[in-house]
Order: sequence, then C-alpha cells, then structure tokens
Amino acid sequence: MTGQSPYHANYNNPVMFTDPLGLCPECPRDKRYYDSRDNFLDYEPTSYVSPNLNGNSWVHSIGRNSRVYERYQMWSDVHNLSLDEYAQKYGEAYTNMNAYWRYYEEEQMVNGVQVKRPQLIISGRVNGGYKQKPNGGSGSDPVGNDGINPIQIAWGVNGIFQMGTEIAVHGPKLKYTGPGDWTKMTRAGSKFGTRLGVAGVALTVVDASIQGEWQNHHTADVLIGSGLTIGAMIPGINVGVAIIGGVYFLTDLGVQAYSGRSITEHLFDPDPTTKGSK
Amino acid sequence: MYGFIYIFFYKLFERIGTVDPRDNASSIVLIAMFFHSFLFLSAINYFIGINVLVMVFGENHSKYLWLPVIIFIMFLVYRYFKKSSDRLISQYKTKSVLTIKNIVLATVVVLLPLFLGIVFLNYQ
Repeated sequence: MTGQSPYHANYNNPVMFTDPLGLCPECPRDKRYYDSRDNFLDYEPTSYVSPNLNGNSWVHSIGRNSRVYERYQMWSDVHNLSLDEYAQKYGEAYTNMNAYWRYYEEEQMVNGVQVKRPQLIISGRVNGGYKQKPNGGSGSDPVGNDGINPIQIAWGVNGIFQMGTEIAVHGPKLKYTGPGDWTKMTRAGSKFGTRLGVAGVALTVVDASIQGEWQNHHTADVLIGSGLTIGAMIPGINVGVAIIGGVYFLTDLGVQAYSGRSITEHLFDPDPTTKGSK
Repeated sequence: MYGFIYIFFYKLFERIGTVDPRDNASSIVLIAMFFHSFLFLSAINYFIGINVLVMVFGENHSKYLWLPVIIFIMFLVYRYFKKSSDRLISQYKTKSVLTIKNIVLATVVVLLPLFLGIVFLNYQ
C-alpha cells in the first residue's frame, strides 16, 4: 500500500517533507547508489525531497534517529564529506529554491544531461487512481475531483496511519507525565485483569457444579476467563484487556440480574428449557 | 504439586516476558486449584450422589453467592505465593524446568481435572 500512497514521494510524511516538483521517488538512474556487489541500495534523496526546516537546524528538524538522518550519513560518506559539511551544503539548498535548482542543474550538467526546469506543480492530485484529469476538470468540478472516492479515503486513512507510525518510530520519545507511575499502573491493570479472569473461571466451575451439568456456555465462560487471565499478563495490551474484562463482567452481571441468564447462556444455550442459575 | 505448577509457569512467563511473572504464575495455580475443586465436587456427585454446593445454599441458587468464598481463597493463595515465591524460586534456581516432560505434566495437571470433572458431571 505504501507504493500507492499519494504521499509516497514525501516518505508518507507530507508535513515534514515537501516534494513541490513531483520528481521523487522517480529519481534519475545516475543518482542511484550501489554497494560493492552492485546491489541497488538507494536513490540519493537530497536532490528532491527537502525537509521543512522552518528556521531550525536540519538535525533538530529531522531528528537524529530518523530515516533521513541515516540517509544523510550514507550520502555524506559517498561524497567524502563530513556529516556537518554535507548538511551545510545541501541543507542550505533545501531552504532556498534557487540554490536548490542551481544544485540540481549543476548536477545534471555534470552528468551531461540537458535539463529543463519543469513547471511548478501546485498539487499532484490523484483522482481515485483510475480516473485522472490532468489540469483539472471543468465547470462545477474545476479540480477534477468527482465527489468522495473510497480509494481516496482509504489512501487518506493509510496516510494517517503511516504518519502515525512514522511519528511513533522516529518522532520524539514521549514520556508519561500524568499522575502516578506508569509501570505501577500497568502492573495494577495486569493484577486486576488476571484476578478478574480467575474469578470468572472459578464462578463458571461453581455454576456448573450447582447445575449438575456442563453446558456449552460453561466452556465459553472458561475460555473467556482464561483468555482474560492470559491477556492481562501480556505487556502492552494488559490494561486494555483488563478494562474490557471489567466491562464484560459488569454487563454480564446486569444481564443476569435482568434475565436470569448470562450473556454466554443466551448465545450458546438459547433453549429456555435448559437449566440456568439465577 | 502446586509448587511445581507455580515454578513451571513462573519460568515460562519469565521467558515470555509477561508483566509480573510471580503474580501471573499464582493466577495459573489458582485456576488449577479451582479445576481440581471442580473435579473433587463432581467426583463426590458421581460416586456418592451428593451435590455439596446445593446442600449449602439449596437448589438453583445464584453462583454469585460463592463469590466471597472465591475471593477469600484467591486472597489466601496470592498471599501465600507472594510470601513463599522467593523460597520456591531459589529452590528451583539451578534446575531446568521448561522440559518437554514438564510441559506435558503441567498441561495434564492443570487441564485433565477439568475434562474429568466434565465427564463425571455429564455422565452420571
């Protein structure tokens, strides 16, 4: 899906990176970089995709752990420049369109290719991926966008997820600053969830013993209780599992008080003639 | 037996990396204890014909009447293993617990009573 995203040229991060000329990721072949075994490694990103510096230093802007930072490191090695020299030379180019174009044309001349500066494309709109109207539409649809397209929505959602992932992986490391200790809270959630699951299993076997018969809903209850117990042990999901378990437990209590039968009893043993605890 | 279950699941959870292996292992011990109690009650019902739980609160009573008893048992067991976990862990520190034999044994000890209890209950 990444290859089909409208923000692919911006590394799925249009806030951080701009691609006003629409040239990436289709970079010229002579800008490709190969390793010693002639395996294609990467395009040089610096010619076309520029970080929005907004007056900040480039390291501050893109972050030391980001993918772009790694690419800077790689390409500074290729050009036999120190990282700072490389950043200074090309980082300046990014902030200045003329310098950017000077660099671009210089490079193309060095490679012996005649380059015409293309028209600036304001928006590389892609209309649903199957019906594109270059230069816009006409009449009531000047930009060539015929209503809401589900594929556009899917791309948009995908873009949001991609950006979220990018921020989560490469963004600033967030630290919990709310009340209490997050580790303690996680442990407390885990304890609550496991105890709830154990209590659920215990209540199920008690219920079966009272009824003198093991029914389908008992199996379901034991599986739910065991699942809750195990799920509440797993880091990352334990608090969510505990909350879901607590809500289910309370809902089950309410359903039992109202109808005399538990949720699983309604689902798996719907025959009202079967015995059920109050 | 419950010491073995505790240590087995403690080592397993420690290897998997759960939130709190000591507490989590106690939970599995408790589930095993309730399964064993279920087998015990079902066996009494099967062989003697007495339903102990019905004898206490009468027929068709709510299972939630037993909730205080369950909570009390859980409190005791969690407290016991909280106190004795260090001793148990140091006892099995050098021994290899996560073997195929122990995996089969732990599965049988925890789950077989449940299946036997169901058989006793449904085929009496």
